[in-house]
Amino acid sequence: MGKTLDRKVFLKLLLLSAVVIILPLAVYLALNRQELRERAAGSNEVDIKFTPSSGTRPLGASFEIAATVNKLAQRSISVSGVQMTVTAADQFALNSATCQAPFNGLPFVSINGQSMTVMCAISAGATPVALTGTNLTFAKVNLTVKPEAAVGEAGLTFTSTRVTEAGISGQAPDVSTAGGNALYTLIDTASQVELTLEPVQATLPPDVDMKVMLDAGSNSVAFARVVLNFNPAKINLASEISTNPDLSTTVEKTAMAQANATGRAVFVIAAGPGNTQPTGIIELAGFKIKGVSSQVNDTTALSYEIDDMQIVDGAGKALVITASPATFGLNIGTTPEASPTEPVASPTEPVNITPSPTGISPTPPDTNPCTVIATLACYEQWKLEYLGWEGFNTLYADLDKSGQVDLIDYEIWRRAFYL
Amino acid sequence: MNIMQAKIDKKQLNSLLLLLGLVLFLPLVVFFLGRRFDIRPKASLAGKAHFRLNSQSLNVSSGDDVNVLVSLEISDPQVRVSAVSFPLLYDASKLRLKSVAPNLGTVFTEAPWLDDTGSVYPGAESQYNFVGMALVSNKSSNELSGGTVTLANVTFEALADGDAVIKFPDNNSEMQVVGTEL
Repeated sequence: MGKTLDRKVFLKLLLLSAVVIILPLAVYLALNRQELRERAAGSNEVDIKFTPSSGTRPLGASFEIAATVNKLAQRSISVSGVQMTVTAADQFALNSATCQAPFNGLPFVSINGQSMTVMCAISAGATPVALTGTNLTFAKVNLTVKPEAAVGEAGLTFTSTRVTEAGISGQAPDVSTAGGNALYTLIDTASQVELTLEPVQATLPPDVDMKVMLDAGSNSVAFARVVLNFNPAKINLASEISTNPDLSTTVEKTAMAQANATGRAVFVIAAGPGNTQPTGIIELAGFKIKGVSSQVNDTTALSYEIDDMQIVDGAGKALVITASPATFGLNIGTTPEASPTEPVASPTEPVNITPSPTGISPTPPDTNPCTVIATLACYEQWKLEYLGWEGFNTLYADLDKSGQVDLIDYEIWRRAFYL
Repeated sequence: MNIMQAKIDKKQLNSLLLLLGLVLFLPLVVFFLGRRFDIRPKASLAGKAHFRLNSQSLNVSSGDDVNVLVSLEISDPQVRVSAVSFPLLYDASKLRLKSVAPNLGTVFTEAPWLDDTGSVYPGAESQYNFVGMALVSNKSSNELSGGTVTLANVTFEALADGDAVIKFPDNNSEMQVVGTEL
């Protein structure tokens, strides 16, 4: 009991304790900064975004978009105000913003170059606004695409948001998300071209001659890369692709067999030295399509993959492409042999279903095919149970044991299969 | 007592060590609490998927076509989509469903469900008809798409003058998006 330490050692211990105390303080402050960052986005229970948030806008055009809020949470939420700070891409000029009723009680708008702060709140004493899952406009923003702007994508980015929940005594919680940014495609309408397919609708069989049509307007066309997608289990090319002789240099062309194996057909053609570059409405290519689905009253589509396509004019400028697909009815009115009964229509119990991939009427299995999840048999079972096919009211593919077969079960299967 | 010779006894030393132990324990608790907060948002994808409708022609005349691009915007760059299902509601007194083209190819590989019969939408919004589909991407996680992905092109024919509605159902539970986080 009489054992003691001298003063020097005691002072060292005190110094050590002071250092040790700094450590939790540093951790606390670091965490506190992270929390503040999350609070900038609120509790993520009310989404804030622009509507429409995408689309094409011509250079020089003025347009108006709505800033909206909608509830994501299940609980009831009433709000008294919404505020946002938004940065617009340099291609835009921010003209004005106006708070909309009932959030126009206490409006504040500040536009400073490419940055805009909007605060829209209900009047003092007014009843807070109960939000639903439907978009509710709290402000409208008017902006102009600068005429000299470069074509391409340009957007509006939320830098801060706040949706203030009302009715909580002594608090004003922020229930906002960080905001859903908007991204628009700026186009020079003079350089816009349209790709279509002819016929735009058809019934198979019999086989159909398809044409890839380009409306180039007044633009001359020197180069075209066109990509078509289809479901090879439903339709196939029945001929090789033939291309326009005015674009006589064939850089790339998918063979029929390869297209039918992958569901993707690409052709890349260019004007040769002796070609007159075509303009106006041009038939770029043609091919024959046949149906291979055995499903009665089936549907499918042939569509363009715009992101991977390019049309270039004679001056070397890439033209802006719009495109629309063709749709096909397959085996319309055909009486199938031993056709399965289709399930009753309901958006949650899907109908008009594709057949099993083998094209054979499915028979319910004797044993659970999802005993081992990572199998194609389990995937087939998932499809048939998801679709509610007759005889497939089992829940073998209910892999999360939720009592229903849905897309979550598909995701569980996919992760297991591609592990 | 000489000040340089001041001593503390063993009891005081034990108290000091206990205090030090507590002080060391505190940052550990704060650290693990912080980790729990970090994990929670990653587990939830709520608010990261947005269904979008776009049409270049909002004002059309009777007999004209209205092309609607249905897309899905995933706002988290780490999230990839593997399957989607949705109904699209429309005002059948003003619009006739002409065609539905699911985006099959590079993004989605199959449409297990496609209802283009234009039936009346059951439930609370039975004033609308609907087209519906489920799309799946039968691919490994690294091959899945993220960002904004096109789901379908839907074409309507305008039947009469006036305002017509094309919308997703108010009840979000009728729409489903699943995927994975890289």
